[in-house]
Amino acid sequence: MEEFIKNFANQWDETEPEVFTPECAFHELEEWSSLTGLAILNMVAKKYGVKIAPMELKNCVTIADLYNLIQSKQ
Amino acid sequence: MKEYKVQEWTKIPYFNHDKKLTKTIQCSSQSRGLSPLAFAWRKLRNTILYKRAFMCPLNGWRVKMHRKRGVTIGDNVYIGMRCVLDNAYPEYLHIEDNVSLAGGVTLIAHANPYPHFQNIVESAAAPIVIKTGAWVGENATILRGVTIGENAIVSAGTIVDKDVPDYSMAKGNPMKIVAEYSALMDN
Repeated sequence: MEEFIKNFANQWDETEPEVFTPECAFHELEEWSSLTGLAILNMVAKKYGVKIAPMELKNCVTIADLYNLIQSKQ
Repeated sequence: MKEYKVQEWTKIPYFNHDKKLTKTIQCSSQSRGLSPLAFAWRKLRNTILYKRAFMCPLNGWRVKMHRKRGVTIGDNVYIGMRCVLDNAYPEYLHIEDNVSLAGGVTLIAHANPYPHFQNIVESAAAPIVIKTGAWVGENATILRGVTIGENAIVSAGTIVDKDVPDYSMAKGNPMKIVAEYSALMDN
């Protein structure tokens, strides 16, 4: 989980890494955009070998939700 | 798609555009290696086809008309309305299979400045290559000598003045590569 959050935080340019906790609702962050979403999807596909549809990412509220989704697909 | 030969950078010699029409036709035909009559016929035909294709509501007809003008176009290509595919040098445009150009996209394969700019910009025509599966957004402008890579995305309104790599998204003015998504594509 910690490693995933580290990888997740690397996809953001301006947001501080301390913001990212398992309970963080990342859609509400100011820097969030569809481009950040694309970068996250690409990171997940590259590092975890799981392809997530953009709609599934939209349905994830917190980082923990996304982590659980990846775990269930692996 | 059939094999095609990518055109090379070609210098455009300068001539006074303000002279008689016959002089213009003579100079333009010389720089393209055509006889004046052949050039005049081609120019007339291309201008009519280009004007028809500009506002034609059917994609199939638009693509056919652009092919007739001399643009290399592959299979399953979409070219939107109001697209400007260089009217002076259409043979320098190469569009491969499954490419989508949205409405109002401009492809300019040459720059022909007056001679007092000769030390700043080279007066030349250069090929534009849009590779398989690329997607160009509304009102983007693509300048000479640019190659857009396979499955690349050019965002709406972008002015593309340098190459876009495969599987990446170009956005903004000045253009930046903002995303890379090779891991997400099914291949």
